[in-house]
Amino acid sequence: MLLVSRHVRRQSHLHSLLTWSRLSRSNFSNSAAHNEQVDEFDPLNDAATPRRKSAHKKSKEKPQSVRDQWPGWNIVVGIEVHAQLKTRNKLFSHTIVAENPDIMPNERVSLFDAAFPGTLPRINPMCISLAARTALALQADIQPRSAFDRKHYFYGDLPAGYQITQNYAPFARNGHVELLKTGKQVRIKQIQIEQDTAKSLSSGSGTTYDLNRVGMPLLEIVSQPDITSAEEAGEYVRSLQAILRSVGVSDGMMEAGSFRCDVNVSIHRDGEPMGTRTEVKNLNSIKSVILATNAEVVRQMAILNAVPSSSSNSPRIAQETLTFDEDTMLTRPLRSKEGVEDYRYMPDPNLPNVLFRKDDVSSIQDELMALGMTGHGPDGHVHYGWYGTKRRLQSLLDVSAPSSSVSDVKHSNAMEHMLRDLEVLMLLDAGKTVGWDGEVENGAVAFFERAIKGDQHSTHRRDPKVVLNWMIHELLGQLTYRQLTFAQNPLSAEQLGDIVDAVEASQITNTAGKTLLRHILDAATPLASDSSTDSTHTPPSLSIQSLIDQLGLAKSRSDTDLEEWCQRAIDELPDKAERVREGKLNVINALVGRVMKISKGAADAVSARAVLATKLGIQLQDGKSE
Amino acid sequence: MKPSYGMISRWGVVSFADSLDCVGILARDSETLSTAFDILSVHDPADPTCVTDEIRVGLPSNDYMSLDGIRIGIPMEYFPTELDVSITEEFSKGLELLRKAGAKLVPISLPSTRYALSAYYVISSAEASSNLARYDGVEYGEHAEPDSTFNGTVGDIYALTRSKNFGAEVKRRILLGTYALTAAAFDNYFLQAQRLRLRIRADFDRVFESPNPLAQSEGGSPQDKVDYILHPSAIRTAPKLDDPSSSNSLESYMQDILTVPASLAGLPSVSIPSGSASDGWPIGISLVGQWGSDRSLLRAVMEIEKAFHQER
Repeated sequence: MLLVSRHVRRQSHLHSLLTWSRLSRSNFSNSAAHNEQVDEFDPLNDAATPRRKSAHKKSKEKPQSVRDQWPGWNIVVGIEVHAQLKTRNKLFSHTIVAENPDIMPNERVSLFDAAFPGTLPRINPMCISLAARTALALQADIQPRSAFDRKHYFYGDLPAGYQITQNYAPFARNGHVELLKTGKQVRIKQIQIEQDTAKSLSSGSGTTYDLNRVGMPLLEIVSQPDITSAEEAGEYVRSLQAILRSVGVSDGMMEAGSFRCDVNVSIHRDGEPMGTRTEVKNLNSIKSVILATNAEVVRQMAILNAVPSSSSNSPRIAQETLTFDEDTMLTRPLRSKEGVEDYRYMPDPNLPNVLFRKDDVSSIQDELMALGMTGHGPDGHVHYGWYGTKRRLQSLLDVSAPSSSVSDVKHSNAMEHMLRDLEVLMLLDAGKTVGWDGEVENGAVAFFERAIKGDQHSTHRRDPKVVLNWMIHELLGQLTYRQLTFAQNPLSAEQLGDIVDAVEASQITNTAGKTLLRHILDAATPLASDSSTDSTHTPPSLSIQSLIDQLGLAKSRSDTDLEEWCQRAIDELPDKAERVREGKLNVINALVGRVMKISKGAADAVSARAVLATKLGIQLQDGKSE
Repeated sequence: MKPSYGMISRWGVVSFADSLDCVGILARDSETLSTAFDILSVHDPADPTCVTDEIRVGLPSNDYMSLDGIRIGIPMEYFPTELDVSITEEFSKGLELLRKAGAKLVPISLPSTRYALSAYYVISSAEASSNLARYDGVEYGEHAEPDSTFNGTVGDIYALTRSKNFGAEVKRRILLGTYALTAAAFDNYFLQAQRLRLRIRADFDRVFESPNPLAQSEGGSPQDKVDYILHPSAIRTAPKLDDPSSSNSLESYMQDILTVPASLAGLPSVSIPSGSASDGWPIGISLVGQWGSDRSLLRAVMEIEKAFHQER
């Protein structure tokens, strides 16, 4: 386990997600107490986060309520996220964005990006579409009319001396983020579209600027101050990342710079008005979001605690902008600005209003439906993105809440297992690459839904619960064992479906099915490196039926085969056979195992047991001997 | 000629005030103007304010017309006290020639005219302060190197370059414009100026026979309709370089008082030479049309040229 977590740390992209599922798979084979262990491996956690012993311990304990942690104090946190939209062109210029992040500085800069005189903006409609997808995924109200304003300030990273943003009339208002773990809803204030600035690099001799990033489209998502702790802040960021990835609008990766957070923190004692809020900027990982929030709370608390609140000389928190120093683990003020800066917002006279009416909303909704990103909740309400997919799968799997009644314990356990499998499926799917311009690659969920479908000729649909079970417990495990990511899976959805069909139809045993699956993985593995990620192609030689014949896996209907196999097993394991004859009935299982091996899983275990018992002249407990 | 706003692409034009900037044409006669205009007036996707072909197809063309029966509005607010008397006299002579050619002269009122100059300067200065913010000496252009004793912020470095390389009048407008956009002044200056701008455009829409193809204006009392508007181009002849009034900004801003309303409303306007003032320097009269009527306006100008030519 330790070895793997080191590996996780080194990986800096979202395949760490698949590593999570690899780890969780091995957990699943153990007891139900693994729930706590699951918390340790936060799926969307920054891969760069080192696993500190103390943090690990904390997650194992029941989380303290915030009120216990800071008695008498209320912590109020709001978060502003800037997420870069993954479009092929920039927001207002047709500069082609580099697909390879390792390009030279200032290579993807047009005259407009560099603010040359005589240039004018040209809006990229893809940015509006992706913003609309995001608004739907966050249940926000897309405004029929929104407009662009100029925000003026002088700084090295802003060639034009102003940033085009949406101050007076943002693209969407309201909405909420449902936290993945706790389900708590954090309200969104607004979503606006704006330009990104240049990337600055401080060196000894000064600062240099790379304009590749200037003019990239950003979505600024502003939350209401509903967050009440540092951990919740981290959870909010994780959840928002997942949601944005789930509608294919952004990579949502903090280290890579496509997802940035500013945290606003204020504290106040019970019964008192809200405190002054400070802003902590330049947070580039979830870990630092959590640590910085905590550090700021502690700093503010120390100032306010120094003098009792009743005193007329009570110290005030200065409204300032801070940065978080990872070395000292403290927040400190950024280069001081005199008071609050006046950005002199002016409507941009070059850009027309963005009109987004009911028809436009409908067409985005249809697009999301076609991409498999929608689902209905139990109340009939439509959800998009992460929650849409989740609800769709839940209704597909006919998942009801785990029952509390004693008689339903078995059903309840099964339900819990399924919910967990569903979680794994969702997270596996979340690891798929986000395409450019909102294009979507097929991930684990698409695979799952395809595997359920059955072939186009038959009207029967496979039992989703069975398929899910095969996918999560067998396929995933075998991939992990072969150190393959889900993206490298060579088994097609059709093949999995056919295996399930064969097992369910009793054509082959469960064990034979597993053998079949492993065979296909083994056969295809040398090809896996040069094949595309499209796992839909079924080479004729790998059709399930032909493989069953080829490997002789069909459940034997003839008793003669079974007779032969059982006799062989007895012959091969004379000691074990003797012990069974002597009365050590449990040892018969070893013989059954040998029969299965000899028959390559084709034998029916129950019948084999009975035949063996007869041959060995013993009476089985359940009286099944002929 | 100053065409309708949005007719000719501004891609490549150094922006001063985006909502006012127009590419104009100077020529000796209206025929040359027309030829040049036809070539330049096309849709350019690189300029988001340049109107599409969809709008262009419906606009009035330059079919033959005679001045006979054409209604020309004379706005009463365009004769301020500052207007040189000899200019008014020349203007009247011109009107007589047009009347002889059959044009109907209609007195009209554009009540918001008196606010136009201040609205114009607030809006244009504000937009200019925004558009000129990019001249910081970093990406291109002149750069003033700070000396070794320098110790300041990025803004201070920019200030060195900008203070050195902007002219006095430019600096003046940037400062005024910056002020107009500050949070404290925004409502009283910038927003008010925009409201006045809408009123000025409504004034024009109320008197023109044809409606504005871009937007409907509301309100105001009904007036007699006209096809075009005619007014003196300027309140005095061109000031000489060493003229004392050139150094006084306010006085020099006054020079714009007659042409500014058409700019604010984005209307096409052609200034036609029409005699000279008492100091012997040439003066002009301006013919203004509804938005998008550039081609028919140029045709009318051609007819006016003929009428003036016949007499002189």
